Amino acid sequence: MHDHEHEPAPTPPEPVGPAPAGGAPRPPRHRVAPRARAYWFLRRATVLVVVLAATLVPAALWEGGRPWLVRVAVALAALLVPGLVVAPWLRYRTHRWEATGTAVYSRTGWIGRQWRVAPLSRVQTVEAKRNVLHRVLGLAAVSVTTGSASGAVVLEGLDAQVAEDLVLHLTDAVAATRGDAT
Amino acid sequence: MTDPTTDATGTDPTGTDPTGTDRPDVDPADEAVADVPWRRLSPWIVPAALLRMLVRLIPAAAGWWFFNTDDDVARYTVIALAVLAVLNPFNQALNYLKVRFRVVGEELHHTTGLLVRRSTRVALHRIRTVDLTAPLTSRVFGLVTVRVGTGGNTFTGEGAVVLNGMRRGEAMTLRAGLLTHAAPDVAAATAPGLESPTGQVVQALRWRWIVFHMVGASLIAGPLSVVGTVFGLVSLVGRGEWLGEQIATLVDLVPWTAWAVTSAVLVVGVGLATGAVTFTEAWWRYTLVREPSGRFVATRGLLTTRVFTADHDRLRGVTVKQPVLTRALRGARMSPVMTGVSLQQMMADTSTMLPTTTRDVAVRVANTLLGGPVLGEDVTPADGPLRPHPPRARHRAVVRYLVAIAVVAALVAAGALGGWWTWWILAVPLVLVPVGVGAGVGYYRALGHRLDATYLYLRRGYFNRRTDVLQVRGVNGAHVTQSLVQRVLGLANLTVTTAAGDQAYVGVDLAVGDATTLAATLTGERLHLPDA
Repeated sequence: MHDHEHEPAPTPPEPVGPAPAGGAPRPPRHRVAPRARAYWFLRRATVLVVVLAATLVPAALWEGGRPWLVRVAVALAALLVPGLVVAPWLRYRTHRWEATGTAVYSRTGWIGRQWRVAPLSRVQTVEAKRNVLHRVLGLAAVSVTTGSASGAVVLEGLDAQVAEDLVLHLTDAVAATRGDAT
Repeated sequence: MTDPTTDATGTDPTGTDPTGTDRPDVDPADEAVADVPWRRLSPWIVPAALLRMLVRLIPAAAGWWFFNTDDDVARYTVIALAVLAVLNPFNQALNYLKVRFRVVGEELHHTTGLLVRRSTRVALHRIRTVDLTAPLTSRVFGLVTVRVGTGGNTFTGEGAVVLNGMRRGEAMTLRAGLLTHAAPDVAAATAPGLESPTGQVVQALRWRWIVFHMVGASLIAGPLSVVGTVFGLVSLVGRGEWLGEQIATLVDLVPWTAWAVTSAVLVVGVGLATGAVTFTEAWWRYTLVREPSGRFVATRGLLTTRVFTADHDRLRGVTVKQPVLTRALRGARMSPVMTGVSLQQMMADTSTMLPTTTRDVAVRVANTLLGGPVLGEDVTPADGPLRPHPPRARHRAVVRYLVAIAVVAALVAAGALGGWWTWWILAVPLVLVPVGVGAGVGYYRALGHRLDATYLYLRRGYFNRRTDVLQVRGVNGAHVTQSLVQRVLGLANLTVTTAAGDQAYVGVDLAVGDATTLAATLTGERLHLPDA
């Protein structure tokens, strides 16, 4: 079932952790790159900085609105900071991916959990995406889409080289298992 | 050879075909490939546009003249409409000059634009939909609109060709020509009266269905739209204030209770009447026919005829919706889950195949579409019962409604504390508590799923119950999702993704092990732990 030979292995496969409670799907085999934590942290930090700038700069310039603008800023910071502090590390514990011989399989989430499976016979496109933050950290995201508008499996925070290998591997595998893709 | 440039140089500028000289914009290669003449829309589009604009102009002008108002807004509205009445036919005349099309070999060519030409070529085998529609004003002149869609890029509409205003006979010939070359799974829709579908009638209109439409959303939307339209029209002729005063004096004349009762009766009456009128307009002469080729054709409509064609090959299942009021009246609304339905079709509501009907009709038509006994009499799987979800899901459903009520209570209490409202208003959330508990229990009872060899059944919802029946062959992925609460309770949602219909269908609060097993079965992957 698992095609180990053609699968790019970034790190030795992690030992499968303790059995998930109540028959939840098994964890996929690979963790994302450790730098993904920095990526998630910086992304949330950017949002926080933008939000604070959008409230505090007007607060500094406009005296009449200062009291409630500051209150809004404090409230937003209180909402966003816990995620900033906790989410990257929780995500790193949860986020995993795997390319089996027949499907792409991922687990994501930080408070919740989501397991996504896209059979290769139904995959339409495979592409690596790199935004500015990805480039700085040497990371990439791999997006695997199917005929469904909500079926995409997106693997965030992979090492750039691993992502590249994975895209090649998946493109070949998809071509080999060409289904009707609908 | 009257073209002066040709005479001057003595050679044909296109270099291939002398007939190309009066169409210098045409690529010479095309002319070499095929010398098929270009065709135009019918010139009758010009009087049709004039008629269409007059139909809009006359009421406004009549009102203006009748009230003899000096109101500027009204006058400018009439003037603007009059200008449009001239411009629109002129525009259609330009369209007659601009739009040309032809079928060459395996391609449909379509060009438009006078100075800047825009050409579209559609390979016939890529055609997925051929729709013929005929609004009332066009039908007077025997004109129809042909809409050719390709399955790809349904959301941008790219590659779709609209020929707005062809003679009926020509359109039928074009349609026949396109369909003979198109792929077998093409959906072709033709307005009734243009061509009566031949085949076995699966379902005809039953007037008692009108009840389901009268007690639905139109009870609220109907009165609102009627009041809005009346005020809009009256303001248009500059009598808005006058009407307001009339109503105000009327209210002062009669006692408060009489006024309230009269308005309530009027609102309900208008609501019921609106439902009846919209149903009649939308579903007049409704028939669902199975053509010998296996296509299903639904035709309906009084003023605008709407047609929806569903090919059996594009069908991936059905959804049966039973909102709480409809359910109380033993009704249900069945809609097909199809691939390749364009966004425009979804928006235009032409993809509706059956109105809200009695439950037995919904089930029977669903089974006819799917070609076998798939649903039983009470909208459950024909093969056996739905598997219930674990009782913990009931706690979650009840608590969810109670939390929502608690939020309402908190807001109301805040209002009462602030002194804006009387404390009596707290009775509202208190009364809602048993409703919430009942709804939560009902929600849990509705939860269920079943997977057999060909179909996946998913049911959920209390106020808006839906049963999704999906062909397993149409499923192209699966997600198992757990929120924090679901992790604690050992529950999970199962989302199956598909290229058809809503693109994703959700089963709520399954036991996490069941969700895993279903996802594994549907995708053919091993998702359980080796020892599990």
